[in-house]
Amino acid sequence: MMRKSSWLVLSVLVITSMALSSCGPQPTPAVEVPAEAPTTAPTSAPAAAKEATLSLTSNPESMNPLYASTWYTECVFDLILLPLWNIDDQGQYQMELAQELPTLQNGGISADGLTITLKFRDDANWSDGTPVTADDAVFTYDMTMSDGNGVFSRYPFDTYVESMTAVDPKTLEIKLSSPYADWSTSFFTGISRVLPKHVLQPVFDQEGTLDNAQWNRTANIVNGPFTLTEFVSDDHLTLAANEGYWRGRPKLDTLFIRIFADDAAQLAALQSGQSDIGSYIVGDQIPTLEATGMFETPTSANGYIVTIFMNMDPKTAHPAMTDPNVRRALALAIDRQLIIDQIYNGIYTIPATYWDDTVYDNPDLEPYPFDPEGAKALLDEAGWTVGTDGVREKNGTILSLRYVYISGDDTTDTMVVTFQQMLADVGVKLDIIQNTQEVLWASYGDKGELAIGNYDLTQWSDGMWYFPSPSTSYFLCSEIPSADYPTGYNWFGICDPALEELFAVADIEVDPNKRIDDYHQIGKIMYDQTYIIPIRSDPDVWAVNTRLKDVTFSGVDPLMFAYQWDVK
Amino acid sequence: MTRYIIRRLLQAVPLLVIITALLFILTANLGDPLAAFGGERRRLQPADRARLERQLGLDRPLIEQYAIWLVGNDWMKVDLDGDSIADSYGTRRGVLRGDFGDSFQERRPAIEVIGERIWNTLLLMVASEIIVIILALLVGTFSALHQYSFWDHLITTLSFIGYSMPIFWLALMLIYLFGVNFQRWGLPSLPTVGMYDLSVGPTVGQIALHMLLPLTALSVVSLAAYSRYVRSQMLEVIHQDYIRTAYAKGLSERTVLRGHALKNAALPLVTIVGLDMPLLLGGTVVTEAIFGWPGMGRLFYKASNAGDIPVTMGILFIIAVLVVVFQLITDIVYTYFDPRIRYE
Amino acid sequence: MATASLNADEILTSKPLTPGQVAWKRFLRHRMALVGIWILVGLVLYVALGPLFFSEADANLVDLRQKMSGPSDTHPFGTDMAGRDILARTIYGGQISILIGILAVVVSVTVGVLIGAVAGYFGGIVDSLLMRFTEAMFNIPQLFLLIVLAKFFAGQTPNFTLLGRTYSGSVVIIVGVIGLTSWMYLARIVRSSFLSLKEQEFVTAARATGASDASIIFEHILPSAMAPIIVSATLEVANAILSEAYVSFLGMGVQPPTATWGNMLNEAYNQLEGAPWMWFFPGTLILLIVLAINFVGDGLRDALDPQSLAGAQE
Repeated sequence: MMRKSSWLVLSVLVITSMALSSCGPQPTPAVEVPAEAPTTAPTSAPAAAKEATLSLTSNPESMNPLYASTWYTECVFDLILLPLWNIDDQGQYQMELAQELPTLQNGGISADGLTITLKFRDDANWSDGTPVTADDAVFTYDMTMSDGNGVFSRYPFDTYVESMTAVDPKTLEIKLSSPYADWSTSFFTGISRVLPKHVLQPVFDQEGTLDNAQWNRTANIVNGPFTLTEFVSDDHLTLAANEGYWRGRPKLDTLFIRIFADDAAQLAALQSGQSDIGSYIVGDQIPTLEATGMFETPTSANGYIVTIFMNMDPKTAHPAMTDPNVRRALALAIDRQLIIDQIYNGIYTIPATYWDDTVYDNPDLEPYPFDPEGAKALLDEAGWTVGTDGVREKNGTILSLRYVYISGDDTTDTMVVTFQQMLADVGVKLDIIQNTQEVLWASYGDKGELAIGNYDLTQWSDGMWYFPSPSTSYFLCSEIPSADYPTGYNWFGICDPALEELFAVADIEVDPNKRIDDYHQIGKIMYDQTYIIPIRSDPDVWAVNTRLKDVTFSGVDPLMFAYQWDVK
Repeated sequence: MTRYIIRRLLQAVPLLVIITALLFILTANLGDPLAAFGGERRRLQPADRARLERQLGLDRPLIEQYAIWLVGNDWMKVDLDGDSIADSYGTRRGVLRGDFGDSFQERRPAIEVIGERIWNTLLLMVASEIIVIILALLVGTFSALHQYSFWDHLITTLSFIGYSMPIFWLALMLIYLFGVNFQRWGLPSLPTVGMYDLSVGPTVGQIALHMLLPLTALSVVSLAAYSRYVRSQMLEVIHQDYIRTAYAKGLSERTVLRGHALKNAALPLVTIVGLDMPLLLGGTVVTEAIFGWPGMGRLFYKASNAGDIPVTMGILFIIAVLVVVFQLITDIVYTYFDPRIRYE
Repeated sequence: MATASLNADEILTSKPLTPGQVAWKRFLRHRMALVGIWILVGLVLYVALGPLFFSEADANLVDLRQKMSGPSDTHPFGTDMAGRDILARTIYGGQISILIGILAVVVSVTVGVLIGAVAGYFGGIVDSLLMRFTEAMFNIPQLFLLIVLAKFFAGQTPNFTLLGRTYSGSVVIIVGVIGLTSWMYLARIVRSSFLSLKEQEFVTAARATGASDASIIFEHILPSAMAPIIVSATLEVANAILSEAYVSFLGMGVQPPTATWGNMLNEAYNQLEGAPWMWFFPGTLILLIVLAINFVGDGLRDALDPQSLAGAQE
């Protein structure tokens, strides 16, 4: 036998590991309060449980909309928490909690546009049977504005809402402090939802805050098509069909959501059948998916594009970048169609403006062409002449630009080195620097690289935050960060009086056609001045396993049709 | 001995304070955690950013943030509503009272976030260590006893290849062989992601099945290194005089090996294991990421990148404490093995 | 016929072998170490002479239409996702990977030897403090330090030029991080060597002749302690190259467009099946060089360590 001391070591280790593993992995405990519904249950159980698995590549932050901010979390909300309405790919409003969309015609909106009255549907209930009422909405508003809660964002409530009252349990009255054209895409819809007052008010009363509410993780009382059975952070969510959903029980019995660390892991899972629906598929993965023969890849426009932003703030920018001709030359030097075809298998389009593929996109504008000779001509005219090493210079300054971008995506890496090559071909030198969002997007006060202007070019996917609403304050002079205003996010230094005027007008425009026209003009100015260089469209691309049927999506509220999804 | 232990533990306290202070400074420089709120597609509104910085305590000077992290702020008044008047008590109790703060990413106690993951990593790591130690002792001893035989050369060569391979390469090979390709060839395939099949649930069988591939990837590299180590230790030991004496006394090979040689060869192994243990908690980020294993390594990597101070500091603190504790344990266990070592 | 006569005179007058020569002979008997040396020579020639056939611009030449094509006449190793030639990239990437490996070890050996020697030689409070510091460094996970340094210094460290090639500042960061997180083992080894060696007579003699502490440390004791340092340093190079691969895999490696064997593997991560040439070549090269270094290190250990009997048996 082995000497007892060796046994000692081994037995310590064995016992330790047994003790530790018997404590076991701890998934969050299942629902304590059963989701009881007063509706009648189906008389016969279905033959086999219908299950599907959807995968995401980022962890949902919290089940409480007050503390959530990402698209991925919004996807989960589509399944468990109802908004007032959803908007589908055709731009049609589909009512959920609200009976109908308030308009001037039906009296839902007052003549001055400052009072909105809406009625809640009678048959919308929380999963414990309590009806969803206007008090829930008022409660949500109060909680958003309360100082006790560290909510992600108070916008747009803090800017536009003066008060919210429940005229009666089913009627909500919203008083605006100033006209707000986009209220219907941001009030209690999108990432904003209605909270269950009867569950959370006691928590707030007792703790003074909702920050640590149990409900934020377990969401045991909800009102959507599915209920949340389990949420193991960064791993998976388990959702069960909600019998009490006002449209009736969804077709699926169980929906799993798996969370993967990156696209490659999701792709492997799709291929091996461990995920049925893949989210946010990148173009270069399409061939692999098609090769399996098991997938369809529907796309939804979502108002986002991948675009290059530039630093043209005269205080910090490279002298060349303040010249619109130089910026135009950069745009002409990049062969975007080649990139889309080669890297992304041609599934994207080239945008002309920030509002690509919507009514606000100026139809008269064509995307910048690929014209390297034209680029060279523009640069020569601007005084940047080619030096001995092939790099342009002027008055002793070389045209060497700093390109910073957020690391983490292979195709972006390839795209950027391609830019480097294409720009080198016209005599512009590019220094590439990768870093994470936390460093690049830190505020001016935190010496964020972009905020302090320590860059020349950058890129990411951006667009309409409240799609399909077009408004943005990105390009306003007032948003340029400074010591007095360190949190400003116009890191590009764009300050154009013509643009300012148009944005101000468009923001309060109530006539939709005039608004469209305003944005067409805005688009034209940004195009002429080359304030941004759009690269490609960035729609939602899904991978759907053919064993499922009736799986459709929306670019605005991604999973709004989940209650229809079914197994063949 | 007790006095020695107490003295070491007391010495550890100032050491830990200095280490944690240093780590805090490094962690706070990981970038602005608020920058990533909203994901890539949405930026934080300026008013909200200012408010969140205040509510999360990020607008205080670094030294104050560290002090609050250590001892909390529920004993002093802070400004919660932004009017620059400190009129409410804080809510943090500090690490010394067990409160690591709330994770910035997940908006819930960091302890909870870490606690959910710690068992998963321990499970994988401890199982891997046990397998590796047992196999290393067996393989290394065999190799030493049959030095220069064909088997010895084969094992040696395989060992070298084993620890010369980048672990993620090995992991990916395993996935594609046993996961994707087996399935394609109609063979029963091994699961490649997660800890258990979602529709079946976390049963022992499921977890064991899902552990196979990550364990293999982890064990191969360590096994190669440890077995070489055991081999060289055994070689050294079996040529010692006292072993020859034992044989001369008529003891069988088994008794000699297991009684004398193995014990002495195992001693340095204990040292290595003891020192490696706490660092196992960092987990191997890459293995966990590739196999979708919800462990501490991945959490640590994500939290560090996101500048999530409570979670990052929580993990670093735990590692620091464990390093100190395990070094002490190793030194004590040493005395069981080598009676010549005594501490006063 | 007469066998070689054992001439007593010859035996008595032939020179005894120096320790170095003994070590050399023992090394030569270690077959795997010899194989390792040959592989190393081959790889070094590969990265050193490769530039005669390919320029660095060739290695970075993006041609999207050629992307991910398999090995062919124009591209013997195929192309990567941006259409760059993989053969050229493995040459230039190898230069950086090897450079990082060597430089990182230079850093860690320098720090480790200094700290270990001073701690071992002076003992007492100095030893205590330095050993506690070493322990403290164990507490900082390498990955963490890398993330912090990479974020902090990204884009701020200047490029530097060495042997006619310009390297981006991110190389400095990686060298620094790998070097500063792997000196601890060596420091402990050096310290224990010094602890025992400083009691030896030749040290007492040196002190008696009035040699300074620095002189005793570096000129007298250190040469005797070289054996474990050499072995450790050799094996550290292998570890450093693997660390670089690991770090690149996590996306924190050398910035694009510069290639290293590690970040080429990272790019290939998503293309395991579709384009096996993208990972096969850099992966095999990493494996070969690490293997070779490990063989050589093993041989050195057998050759230089007087207590190792493995070499003496033959």
